[in-house]
Amino acid sequence: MNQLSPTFPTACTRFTSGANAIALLVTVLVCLTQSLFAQESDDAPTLDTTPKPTSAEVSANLDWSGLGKIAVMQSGRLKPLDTVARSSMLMICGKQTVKVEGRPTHAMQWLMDVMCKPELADLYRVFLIHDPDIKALLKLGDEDKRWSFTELAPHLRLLAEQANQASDVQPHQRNRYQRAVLELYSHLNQYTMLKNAIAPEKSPDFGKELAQVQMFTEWLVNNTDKIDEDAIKQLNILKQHYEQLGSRSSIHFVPPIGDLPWQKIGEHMREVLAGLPMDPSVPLFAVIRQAYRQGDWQTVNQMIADHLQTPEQIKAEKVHSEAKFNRIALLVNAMPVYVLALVVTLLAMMLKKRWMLIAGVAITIIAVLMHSSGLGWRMWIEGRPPVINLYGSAVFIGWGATIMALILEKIYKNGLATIAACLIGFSTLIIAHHLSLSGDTIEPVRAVLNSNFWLGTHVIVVTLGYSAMFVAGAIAIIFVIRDVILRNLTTKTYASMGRMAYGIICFAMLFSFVGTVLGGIWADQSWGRFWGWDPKENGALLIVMWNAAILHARWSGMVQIRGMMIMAILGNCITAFSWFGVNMMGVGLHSYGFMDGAFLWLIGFFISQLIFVAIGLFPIQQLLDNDQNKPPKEDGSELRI
Amino acid sequence: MKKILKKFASLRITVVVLIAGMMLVLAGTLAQTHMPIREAQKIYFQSFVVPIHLNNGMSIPVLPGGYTLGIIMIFNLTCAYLTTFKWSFKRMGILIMHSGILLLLLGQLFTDLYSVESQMVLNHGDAKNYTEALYDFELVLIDTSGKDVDRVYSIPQSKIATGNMIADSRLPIAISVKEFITNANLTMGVNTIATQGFGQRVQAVPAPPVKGDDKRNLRCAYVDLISNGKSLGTWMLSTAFMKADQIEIDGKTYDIQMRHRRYMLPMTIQLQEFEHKRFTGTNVPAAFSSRVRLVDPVQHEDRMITISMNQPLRYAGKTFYQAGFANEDKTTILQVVLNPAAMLPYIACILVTLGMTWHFVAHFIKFRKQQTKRDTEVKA
Repeated sequence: MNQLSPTFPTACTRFTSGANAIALLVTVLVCLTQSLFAQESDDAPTLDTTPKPTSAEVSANLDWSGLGKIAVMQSGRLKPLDTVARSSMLMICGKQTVKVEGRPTHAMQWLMDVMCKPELADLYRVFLIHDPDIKALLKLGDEDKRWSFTELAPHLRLLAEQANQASDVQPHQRNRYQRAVLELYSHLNQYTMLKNAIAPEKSPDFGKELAQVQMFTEWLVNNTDKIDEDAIKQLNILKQHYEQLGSRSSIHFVPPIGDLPWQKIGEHMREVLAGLPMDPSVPLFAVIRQAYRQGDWQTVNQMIADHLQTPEQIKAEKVHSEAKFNRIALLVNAMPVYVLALVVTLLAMMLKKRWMLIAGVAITIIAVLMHSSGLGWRMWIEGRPPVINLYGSAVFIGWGATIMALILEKIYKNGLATIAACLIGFSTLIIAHHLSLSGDTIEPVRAVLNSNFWLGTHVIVVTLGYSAMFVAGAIAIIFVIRDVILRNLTTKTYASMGRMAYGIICFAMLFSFVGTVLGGIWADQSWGRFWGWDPKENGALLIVMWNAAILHARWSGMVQIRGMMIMAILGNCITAFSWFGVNMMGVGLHSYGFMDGAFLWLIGFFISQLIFVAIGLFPIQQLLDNDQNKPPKEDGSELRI
Repeated sequence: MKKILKKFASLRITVVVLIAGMMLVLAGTLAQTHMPIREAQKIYFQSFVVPIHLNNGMSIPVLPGGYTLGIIMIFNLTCAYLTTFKWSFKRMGILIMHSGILLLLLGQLFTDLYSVESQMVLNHGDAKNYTEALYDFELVLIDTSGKDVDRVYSIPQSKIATGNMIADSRLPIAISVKEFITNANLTMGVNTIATQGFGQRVQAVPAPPVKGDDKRNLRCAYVDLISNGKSLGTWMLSTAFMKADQIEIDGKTYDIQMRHRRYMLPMTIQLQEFEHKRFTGTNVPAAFSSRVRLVDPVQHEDRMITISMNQPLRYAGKTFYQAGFANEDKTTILQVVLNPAAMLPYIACILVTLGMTWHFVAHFIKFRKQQTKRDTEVKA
């Protein structure tokens, strides 16, 4: 242990002379540990060393990627520190970098500042506040979107009161203000939990404190006969201190020992006071904290390297891979590629250049490959089928849709399905990105969902049904734009787009039906009823019924190609309702995927789709006409790959 | 005749029913924001018409209910079978698929009509040979004088709620229901109406009925017991009382109690251990399961079983699911379902999936052939 911690040996030798020192030691300790947490009456000791902002030198030389790889337990999942940093920052700040004194600071550095130099991090303007009522409540003014902890600190008590009131209201009955207050309050809490992750936020030198605790416990063990009331009293104060530290932090840094699970540092110190030997990781993080405060990047790097060599860390290969996954960010980077592909394909159609069309399809394939590898990598990290929460569903629906569209492209070779692929690929990844703002996107799976078999069958098939619906909807939108607005559809393309939409609707029907039924069977297996009219079940049923209605309407001749397209656009709305709308209702067995705030976006989406429907209906006569009676169009040459 | 049937087999009817069905499903889903699922289900799906209630007490039907649409759909499909469907190999997919749909609709109807849901709440160490209804209750009179078995006289809720005189030659006494309270708040205090039993020390204040899916109403009733034309006094009975009142009639002791309706089982189930795992540092349940002992004296069975999420126990025609827990993980709640039509959806789904795949794959192959032809035309 001594090799790990430079401050340790000195502290130990200083006190081993003379048992009398123990009285002094305990007094020092108790002084040290008192009120190191942020209190309402701020009489905590001032810190001896004022940390400087992380210099460019430290920033450049510190082993950030090694630091990010360190496996820790948080919210029931083993994850790299990098994920802790990114997901916390996304939640609190809405983005992954923050400007500090004009310099961009990435999430990992922000987390290190919060854990090691909280008094500095408190000044960073990271707390995103949108809600005008909260701004008014805190008298924040309108000029900015983000505020620092220091700016918010005077209002903590007020916020706590407001949050308390709001939490008495049932979640789905809370109004916008109440949701926003609770959100901000929970962000402030999370932030505090990060500040105390390694040491009490105001601890001037945690390493010294640990060394003294070590001394004290050793003395207790060796001098059982000398333990008096005073010593017990001191011991109890220390116990309380570490209990507090444990309850005020959210990261479990200490690896499992024997039967004990991953522990927070405070929890572990509580065990140390009860006689458990101190795990080397505790002084190690204390040293990292101290060295980081002093800008001593060499020591920090050395400690990181040492820690990554411990058995628990070596074992956590998936966790290390996750840090890399975060850094490479395939799913985020696929977005601009989709946009590029879309632009190139559209240009190709406008300029009628075949080579450009081929380039557009090729770029789309690159984007889809990125999307696929991101999805696959994520699955491997989770060890689960791709869809375990809304985030996963967004990524997977987009993936399924792009694959289906590429298959259509292979058959029809006219670039239209590629446009659909880019549109859906990009939109779903944007949706996924926004969903990731609500926290870690890989979460432990609740007991009720904990079945890889059903997650791998019911959920996958049902979401593929969504994918197919969106592909049909996108093709229908392209159809409406070309047929009604641009009026450049040749008779051939008119018919072939009809076949494309029809074929994909058949697939949507098959997937939605099979998926819904598999869901019924799962429900029958685990809840005892095949069908319970739960909102999510009803949503899936709506999709199945709508598909059936489209197909039967087409077969009966009630609608022709244009009518089918309009129904397919409405299908977008129904799918979106089933995907997100029912979650917003906040009722039913499926509401564990509950989400707030996206309601306006959903309404916006509905309106946009209804506009396309209206455009599609515009010359209503044409809808009633048979395809044969359609006014003949110039049968120009259509661009093909 | 065939002409008329053909009219009823029209695809247009199918489309209209499907769209009406979607409106019904949507309305029934949105209604769940302000009423429990159970109630929405009754109003929208297990009904013939869905009315809206106007302020002046009138109600007008706005949507056809689930039963109406289901029946029209079944009729429409049957007519299609009789008239428009072509019985050929090529059309086999459609035939199989729609027979599955028919079975699915019938299965749902049977489930609605014949399935019974109940619960078994077991504390650590408890053994029970019955399950309890979630909402239904009964008034029981138990003759405990038998050596091995008790004789139980059970009076269903419909008789009690109407507040009539309950007299039957098979009952040892007559019961007159003076007052029935759908939901009550109970407090300790002197009861002015009851003259006998525990009820004398409890006051029942009527409360608005609760409707939540997991909430239960506390039923109370004041009853006069009449033996040989003579009143024995007034009892207050409630589903909240854990113990039965005792009365003596003609020298025999009876237990009298109001309780949730019981369904007897041929076996006994005893909770040995309930396990609840959470993810480290969170309250998110990772898994929960009940280790139970099943004893069936008739079948000579005595064995241990684990019931967990996604792993129910199927026995004696009933299925026992792990539904919940209470009392700091010392109590397990099992959901018990008796559904004679449980197999129908499985068969139906296999049929529809098979039929749909058949039809669409055949279609796709045909389409690909045409597409290749079109492609060669374009090239030529």
